Amino acid sequence: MKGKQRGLAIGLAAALLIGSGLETKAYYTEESSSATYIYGKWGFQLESPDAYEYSRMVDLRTVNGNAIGRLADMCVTDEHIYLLDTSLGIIYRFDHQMNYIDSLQEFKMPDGSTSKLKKPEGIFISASDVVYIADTENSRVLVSDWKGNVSLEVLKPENLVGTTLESFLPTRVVADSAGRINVVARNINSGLMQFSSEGFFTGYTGAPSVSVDAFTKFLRKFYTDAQRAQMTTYVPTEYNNIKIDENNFIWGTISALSASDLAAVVTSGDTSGKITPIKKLNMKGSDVLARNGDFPPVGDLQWSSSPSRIVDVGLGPNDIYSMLDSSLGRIFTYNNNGIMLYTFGGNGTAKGETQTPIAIDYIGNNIYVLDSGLSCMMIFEPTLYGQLLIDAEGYYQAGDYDQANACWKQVTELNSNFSYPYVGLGNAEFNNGNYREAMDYYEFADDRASYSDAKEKIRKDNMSVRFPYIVGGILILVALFIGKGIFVRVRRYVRGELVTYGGDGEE
Amino acid sequence: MKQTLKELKYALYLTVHPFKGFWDIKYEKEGSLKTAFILLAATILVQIISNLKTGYLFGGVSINYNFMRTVVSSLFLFFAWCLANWCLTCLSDGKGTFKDIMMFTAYSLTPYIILQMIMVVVSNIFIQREATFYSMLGGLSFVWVAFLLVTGMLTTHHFTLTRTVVVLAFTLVGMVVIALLIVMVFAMFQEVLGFISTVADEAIRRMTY
Repeated sequence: MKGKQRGLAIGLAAALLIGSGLETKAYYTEESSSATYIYGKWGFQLESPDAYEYSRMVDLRTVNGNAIGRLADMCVTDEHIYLLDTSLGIIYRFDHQMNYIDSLQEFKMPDGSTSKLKKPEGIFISASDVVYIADTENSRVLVSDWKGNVSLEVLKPENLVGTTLESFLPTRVVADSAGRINVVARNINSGLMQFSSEGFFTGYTGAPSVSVDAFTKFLRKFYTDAQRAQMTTYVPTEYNNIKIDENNFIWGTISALSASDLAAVVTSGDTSGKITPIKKLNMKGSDVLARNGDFPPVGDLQWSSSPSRIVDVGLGPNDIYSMLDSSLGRIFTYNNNGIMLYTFGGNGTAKGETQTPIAIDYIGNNIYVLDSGLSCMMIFEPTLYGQLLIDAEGYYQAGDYDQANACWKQVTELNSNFSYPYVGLGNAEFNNGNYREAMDYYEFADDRASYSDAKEKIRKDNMSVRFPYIVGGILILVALFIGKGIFVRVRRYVRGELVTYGGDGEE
Repeated sequence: MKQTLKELKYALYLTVHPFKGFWDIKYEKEGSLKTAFILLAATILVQIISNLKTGYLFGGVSINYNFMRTVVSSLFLFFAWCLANWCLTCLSDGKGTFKDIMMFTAYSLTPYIILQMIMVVVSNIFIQREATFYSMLGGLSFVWVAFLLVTGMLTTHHFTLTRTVVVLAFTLVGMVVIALLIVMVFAMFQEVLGFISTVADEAIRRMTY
């Protein structure tokens, strides 16, 4: 009896082990966290070949022999990489190979005094090497050159509306090519603060749209003032990071999103961009990000505890962009249509894994990820597969369909899970006028709208060939029908039968 | 053979002359049960063809399609309808026998057979923008079959229109009841079998230890 019990216990334990083993296998991407994956048409994770591989890590615990504090922001220009040390208030300058060049710590104000930074959180260096610093705890934005000569100090605007805040805490700053300054400030949820190049506050832009449905409006009539005041705090989003591209589009990321709202966006495939972790703002401040994939770009579509926390966006070659997720360390890469190309990276302790990734940028095709927890820069290089996807985008956008086709063919050979290159192949065949082949690719990718377009083309072509035959056939049929009637009547007449009209003489 | 062909031709005539048609298949020997079953078989066949050959834009083929499922579900629906209708019309003074009911039901399916064939063909020609016409055809076949079922019931059972509609509604409820009963019987059989196997298991254990 004892032995039997033990046997049972062992059996149960084995079953549990096998069971748990199966479970870990099902969620393997959370275990081996840096594997590359994509999402299929139905929102399930699919394996993908590695698009990027870990190349090297640059240790930043000491720079030029001095220990550094906590890194907070990164800015990449054509020649340099700038890193911001928030606890010491120093900006370091590196070249693209991450060799230290020099740093900036002291600033000469326009009135001749010197000044230092106090917990700055954001920097931006324009194409003409003007340095913009969100000097957070000094409640100011500094505009300076690399020698530290401050040309403009933007303080809390006197005409500030939309907030009752006493303090002005700028956290991120970008400037467009005309020198207009956009600032993300803490606890301001009306959007980005815009300043003219002279430092005058001109208003907010890119405000998250708040829509109130009729029922809520009706309910508000019965609310007390206290309840109404509480409602306004539910205005959702606050940008946590901004970037600007060469066409002066501002890319803002938002991480303060509720998991249930995001889940609703995923399940409904909502592409309106009302709830989104990323926005691409034009000069007018409206969101122009393309969301033409099966799902909008929100990072992970399935999550166990909390959705992706998007903290930065890297703007890559050929209008590709990569969102950085700080909670799981993922890098979600989309093309300019909002279709996910690949996701890789992860937080962990293995080689090539991050701990507290805070910033991402592209230098050429390489991805640089700044990790503030490890105080290091991780550099990832595209594999053959990743390079093919990037090249295909470039060729397709340039209208070189044959080259794009060649790339996508190779991509499909490396990854049959991915439907997007089949759409690409279909588009290329479509543009070359091979509608029949295009239809096959579209059907394979399950893209009904494009399939329908290709079919229409074929039908039109066929119609021009067949139309004479169809009309001719109908005419012959009509002629035969009439001829038969005449023949019958003539025969009756010849046979001397009575010719009746409208009667049932034939019966 | 010739008789069957004549009857099938009459089924076509019936779709546009339902009152005369349904009267004639019952009283004037213009239809037979054999033809009714041919029509039923054709309906099932057309359904299978539609499942396999509908164009990609209007459904396409599911990879693991099993035609037996179509056969069984169609037969179940047909006989459940006939049975429920027979039970209810018996109670409400209907003049149709079970045979009559099966005949008018099968003959009512004729427009479905024809329109479904047309739909299969056009689904391979139409594009997404013309989906409206496609669904219109589907709607037309539904309405036509429903109209024929009402007319057939009216004529076969010598009902008024109101009574037909009421009995029709109850027939649908009856079909649901039949489905529930079948599920229940299956579940009960499972329970009984489970009980027997448990008892047997227990007995074997007792005897062997």
